[in-house]
Amino acid sequence: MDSSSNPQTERGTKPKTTNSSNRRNYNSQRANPNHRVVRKQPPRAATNGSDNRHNIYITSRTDFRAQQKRCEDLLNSGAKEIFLHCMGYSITRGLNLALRLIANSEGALSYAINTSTIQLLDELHPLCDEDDLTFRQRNNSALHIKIYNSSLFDIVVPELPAKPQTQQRRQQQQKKTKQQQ
Amino acid sequence: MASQKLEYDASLGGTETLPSHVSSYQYAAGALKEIKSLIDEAQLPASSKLIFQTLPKHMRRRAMSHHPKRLPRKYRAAHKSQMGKAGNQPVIGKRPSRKYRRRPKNLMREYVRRQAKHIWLETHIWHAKRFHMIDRWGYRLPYASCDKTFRACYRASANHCLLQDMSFYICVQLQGSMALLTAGFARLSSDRCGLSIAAKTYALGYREGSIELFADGQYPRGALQRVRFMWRREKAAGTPAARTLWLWLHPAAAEAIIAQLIGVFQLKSTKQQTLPLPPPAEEAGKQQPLRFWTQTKAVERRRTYVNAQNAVELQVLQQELNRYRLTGEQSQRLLTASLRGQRPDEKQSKYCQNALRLNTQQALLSNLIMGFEVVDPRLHRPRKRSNPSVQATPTDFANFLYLQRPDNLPDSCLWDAEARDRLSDNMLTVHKYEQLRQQSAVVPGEPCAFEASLQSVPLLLIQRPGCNEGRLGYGSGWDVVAPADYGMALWKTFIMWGARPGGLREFDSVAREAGVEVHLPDTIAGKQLAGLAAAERRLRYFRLPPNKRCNFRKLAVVSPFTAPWQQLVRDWRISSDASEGGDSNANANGDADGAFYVLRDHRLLHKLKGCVNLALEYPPQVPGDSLIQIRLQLVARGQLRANALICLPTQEDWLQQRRQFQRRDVAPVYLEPALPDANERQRKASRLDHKRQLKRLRARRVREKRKLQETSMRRVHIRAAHTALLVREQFEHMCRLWLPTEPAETLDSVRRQCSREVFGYVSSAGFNYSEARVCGVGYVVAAGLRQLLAERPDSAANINYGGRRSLLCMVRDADSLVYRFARLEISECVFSSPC
Repeated sequence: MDSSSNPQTERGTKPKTTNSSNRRNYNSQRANPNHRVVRKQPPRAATNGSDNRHNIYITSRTDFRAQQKRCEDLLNSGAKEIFLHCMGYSITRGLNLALRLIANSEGALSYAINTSTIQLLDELHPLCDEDDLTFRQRNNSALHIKIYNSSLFDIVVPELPAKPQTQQRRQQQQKKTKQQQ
Repeated sequence: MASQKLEYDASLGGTETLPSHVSSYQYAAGALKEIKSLIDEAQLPASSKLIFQTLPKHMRRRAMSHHPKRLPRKYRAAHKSQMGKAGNQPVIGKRPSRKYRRRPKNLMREYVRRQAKHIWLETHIWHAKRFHMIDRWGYRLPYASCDKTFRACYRASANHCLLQDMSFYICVQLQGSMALLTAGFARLSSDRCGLSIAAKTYALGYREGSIELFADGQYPRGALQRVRFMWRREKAAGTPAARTLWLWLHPAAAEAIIAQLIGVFQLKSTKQQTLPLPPPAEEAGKQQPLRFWTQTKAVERRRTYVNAQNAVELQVLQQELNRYRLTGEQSQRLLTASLRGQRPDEKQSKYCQNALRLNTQQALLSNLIMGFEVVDPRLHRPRKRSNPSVQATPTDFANFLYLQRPDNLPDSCLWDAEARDRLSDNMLTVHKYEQLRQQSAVVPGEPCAFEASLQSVPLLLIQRPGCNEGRLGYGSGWDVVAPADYGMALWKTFIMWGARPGGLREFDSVAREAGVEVHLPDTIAGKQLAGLAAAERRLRYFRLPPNKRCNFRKLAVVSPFTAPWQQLVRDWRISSDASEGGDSNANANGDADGAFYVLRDHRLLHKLKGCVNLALEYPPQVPGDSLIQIRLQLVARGQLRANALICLPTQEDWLQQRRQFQRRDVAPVYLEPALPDANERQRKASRLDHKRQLKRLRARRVREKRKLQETSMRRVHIRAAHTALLVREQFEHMCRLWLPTEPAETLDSVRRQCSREVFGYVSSAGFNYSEARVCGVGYVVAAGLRQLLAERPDSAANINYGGRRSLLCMVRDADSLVYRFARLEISECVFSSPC
């Protein structure tokens, strides 16, 4: 994120990688020059419902305010609950976002948190002709935050067992009664 | 014997000797001569009359020369050709009625006629109704939808499914032993550009690979193209049998690559073969020199070339396979909906179906090839165009998929030429299918009994992993290879399941979103496209009225329409030679042809990336005159277009940037001072001169006409102007005055064309939806990059971007004075392009 375009950054985030750790990674990769690591998109939660918009995956690249606005819009448009999924580095970001949302809601929202471990598979692409492709399995911690509307005023109206009659049918019935008269 | 007789002839005036008989050959010779002259006379009539003038009076009609229908039918063709030669075309007949044109026979005839010029894809007619079609590489291809679907196509490629027809790629089949093929391709490519064609991970046949091809032994120059290839899986391991290899060639460079392959493997066309004649039977005992005869095939279905020992065979499978590209998250779901396995209990088919039920194609092995035999795709269409419903997907399937892969997964009968022929012969045409349905379908829309007996279609599904840099997994999807004739059936099924069709434009836009380029500037296709784009831009520039054209002389832009890579490299090479000393003089002379090349050595690129991001030392092996592909991202605001200049900032610019960064000021860092244009006055004078001269000429013609009119009784018309040549010459002269001098003419004209040193050009740029910024792909000279790295101040390095140091450079559009800072990243994707 460029701070020139986004002066209001979230607080409390740890730096993604310090220079030294980056260098360490780099060297470890150079120490084993036989393969190139190809990361894959982490698996996403299987959605049973058709509405996938309520599952929000927090990334470190997306603008923080944009994510916040997206969640607020969803909640304001009548969503009862939304899920924030975050993994690894973006956990702090997700927590920040959830706290910001709840602080801004003046008590209308509350949250529930689940933790989990996600299995990730990396492909190790060979750099010389004799090797075949290999895999590396690693785990990453993930957080699933449910944010839901806890407002007392938001009473769910149960659906009526019988639908109210339509205008047309009522008119027809009136006609019938007239004819009977 | 002929006896001489004296005979009296009054007309001859006396007695004449005449022979009693004539010999037949003499008579025949005379008759022959006569016939010949008659034919000549008929073909080239000596009379200078026109056809209709030769007609008898009673057959002549008014305005016959104008309207050929007034002539008798047998003279019409001759008349038309006569009038055509004279330069005035007679009236072309009325267009036949729509009803006549729409008759199937006539329609088909028209289609065949139109296909003679450009090759059509199988989906041509579908596309031609909905897309802008353009002529490219001998094909008639869809460019972009007639609807404005630019953003929709991006959304499809990111979140839904974008469908593109890439059947114009030419498949070339090579057969031969592994050792021979490996040795041949070693000459055409280099091990520095990644894995070779015989790498184990590809040669097993489970994955599709790609390789960079160069002209024979010319690496790193002479780049032809990046080529995707797939090996056919070996049936029994360890046997030294001939292997089969498919190369997918882009049509721009296909002929060049085939020529290179022919040269490397010493192939000969089988169209014309010299075969030894069998020795005649009675002289079998004698030693005779071998005699040969030449066999020429009139029609060759597949262009085939073979080696002298029949060790390597090359076949061009043009238009025998269709290849469709599905991009986007939902492409997996779309395939699940539209493809049903023919034999769902088989191991291969079961695996395919399970794999497609995963909710992302990312979970599969990258570039995995799957052979899948499916039920005729016409049977699995929704009634209305709709999106496939969400299915409950098996969780944690990935491990199973990696481990439990059946051995025969990539096998398919598509590899078999006979099977392919059989497939297209036995295919039930759409017309027949509809007829059968009309007869046997009781309930409309419900499946029929005969549909169960339709032949199955073998497909090859190829996974694409998408981006590994930048937005992870963008551009991932599937490629579907289908046999000929099934293209339209498959295409329509995909479309009905909600795929968004895209054209050639979308290949570029997807690549730009992913931060790569499809055709690098030193490849054949890249050069060709750059030339086309330059011509288009120039045409557009001079179509504008003069007060709407930007003055490139004032803007200090040397080459406004195309990136002058050659001259750029030349300028930087000269200066580096001068600084290093005289020993590299020979080198400079050797490279005097001005060929440039893009650095594709993955080890060097990796080192360079480390150098940029982590401030390691600059790798000295990087050749100073190579171009390096970079990705650019504008820091604050502004826009970027293709052909923008990439410049080196000076100390003041760094300071200014620092100052602006602190003040959160997004104004341009620097404004190029506009140069005076010395040609302005000259242009004005020339234009006035030209106008005056045209006026003078007209006055002269008017005077001439008046003079004639004085003596003539009839009305005299003014003479035609005939100034087209003059006007064109003037236009060219003005073009020369408008444009800056060619960079090839003067030394150091590109590097120091403006107040900042130019060290690269942007080749494709635009607003990037996934980054929400203006991004672009460009190329910089390695020597310039080195200078930039050396001059980079520490303060600039402190600006972190995702925890990394970022390198900044200045960019300026070709038609503006505004310099802005852009973030520069070395692109490693050159050798593993995801798109």
